[in-house]
Amino acid sequence: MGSNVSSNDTASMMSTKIVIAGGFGAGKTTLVGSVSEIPPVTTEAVMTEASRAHDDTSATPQKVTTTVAMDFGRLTLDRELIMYMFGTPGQARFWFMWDDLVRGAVGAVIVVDSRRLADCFDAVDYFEKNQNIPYVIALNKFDGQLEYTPDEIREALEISPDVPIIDFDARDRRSSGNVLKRLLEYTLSRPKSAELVG
Amino acid sequence: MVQTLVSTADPGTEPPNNLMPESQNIYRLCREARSVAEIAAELKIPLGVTQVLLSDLADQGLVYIHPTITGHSPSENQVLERALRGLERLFQ
Repeated sequence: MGSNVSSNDTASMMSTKIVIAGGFGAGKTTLVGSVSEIPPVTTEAVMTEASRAHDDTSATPQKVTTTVAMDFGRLTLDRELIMYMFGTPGQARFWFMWDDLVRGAVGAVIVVDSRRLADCFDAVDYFEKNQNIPYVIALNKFDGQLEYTPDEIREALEISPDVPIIDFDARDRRSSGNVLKRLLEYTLSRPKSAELVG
Repeated sequence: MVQTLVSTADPGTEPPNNLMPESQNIYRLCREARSVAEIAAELKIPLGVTQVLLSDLADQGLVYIHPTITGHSPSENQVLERALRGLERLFQ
């Protein structure tokens, strides 16, 4: 697999990444699986967290290690350019590691299940505050329909007016690919300034 | 970064014997360019450990760390446009 890349080409290869965020069960892994050229892979990051001030854990060490699983997929965009898609861990308690995952991303997709809007509040909040990373909202059409219009969702989630809201079907390859295209178009349309720090 | 591609500086060679077994495995995998995340997943080593082993290999000049496109600088727009054209080809 991937062995059509000769060693001479190897040195000029570059990579880039986009982050797939959203609530638990919103369709992040389905989206990655629909577009990836490899079956979604899970890798694990061992994170060390300073333990909270639990009053009942005096016998345990000061630090807690947690293993966090992340899904990712890959797209070869041309001979020298590869794009990776990384799914953020769904549970809110792992979001302390988002900064590591998001750093250096060209953009993010927040997958939203319109039946459970509250599940993506934290993801929207994160990307609204972190203005360095352009993001789009992808409304996953479960059962082929949406509970709300994009305008209602923009208002409910307090999403900036310029952020694209796209409805799609995470199971459909072309529909999911269209979300990635819209994200790249949006990234390219945004003014870039040198003060943005990666 | 997790998406950064790594390849061995000299693709035809066996890893030096004085490397740890984990580093030798990484070296063999990187005969083809691979991302940090793929190396971690393939060898079942946590991401953080993989990053440390890779940076040691890079310090010794054994692996090459490829450029990563973040889109934060206007000079990268050309590459982002290439990425967009690639997506258009794949999902037309």
